[in-house]
Amino acid sequence: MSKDTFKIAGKDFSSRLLVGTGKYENKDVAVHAIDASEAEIVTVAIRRVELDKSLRSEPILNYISPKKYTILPNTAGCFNAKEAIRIARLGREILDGKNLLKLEVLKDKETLLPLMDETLLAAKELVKDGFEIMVYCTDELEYALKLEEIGCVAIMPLAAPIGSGQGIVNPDAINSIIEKISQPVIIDAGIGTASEVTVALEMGCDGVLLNTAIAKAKNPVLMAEAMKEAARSGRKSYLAGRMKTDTKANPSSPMKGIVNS
Amino acid sequence: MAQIKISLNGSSHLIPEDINITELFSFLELTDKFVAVELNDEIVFRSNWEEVKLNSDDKVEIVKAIGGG
Repeated sequence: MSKDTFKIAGKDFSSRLLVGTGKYENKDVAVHAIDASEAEIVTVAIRRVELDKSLRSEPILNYISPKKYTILPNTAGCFNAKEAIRIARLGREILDGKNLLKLEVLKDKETLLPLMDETLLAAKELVKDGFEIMVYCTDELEYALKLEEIGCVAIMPLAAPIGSGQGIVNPDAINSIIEKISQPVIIDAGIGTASEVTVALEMGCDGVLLNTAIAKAKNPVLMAEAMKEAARSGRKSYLAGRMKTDTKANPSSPMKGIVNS
Repeated sequence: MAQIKISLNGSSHLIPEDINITELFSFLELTDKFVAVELNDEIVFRSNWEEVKLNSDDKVEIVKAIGGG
């Protein structure tokens, strides 16, 4: 197979698995699992530094290096456009002016569902400010289209609520987004296991972004490998083009020349 | 040495007077390179850290990247 890549903000990526860096037991597991996933884009969150020196841990970007990975700062923890815009700008400054951003504005702490009106407001403002936005959104086509029109570089509808591990709960909605959106469509949030990654890529999504499914697996490193293979498998299956389904059985062996006839 | 009171990451702190942002990092023994600074709600770019001095009642935020999804 020739090299199969996709573009985000003009840059080619070959790994269709994007991973988060949260919820890991410790640094070593995070490093090994993220390495095993062969992800090229990894997300981080932005938080206050610990002022008490004794409570500080090793800075994550020292071991998840921006030299090795495309770091995607996430506005996780923001509940309106104003907060998200502030965090986006701080994230860009941490990464020396890199404009790639995961925009996420949530409705509330319980459902963690995207708050789309505020997401749209923030996206408009941040695009004007030069950001290349990969945007977390609902699976409603109407919003996906608006976000694309604003200039977001990737549309990232949820499969299911963040951290729920339910898989793609509304495949029809995801299918219509894939059909109508020309920018990369990346499933973000709600994936629980490897087969669901395969399903997303078989459907024609350009990628899958997940975190908890690896970090909270019993063996995160092994799950990261499974996710990597699942993404490849799903993508190949999509490119190969599946057979047509049929309502009746069709023998796999020829009926002609049957010995017992 | 005289001290001033500033708001640092949401709580009140005493720091030496007449210091810039780079010196604030030394005072806090903060060596992380991957941080961003806001002074009174405006980002202070890395290139200006040595020039910008802190004053009494300034509101400073220092943030970093952490593990997240």
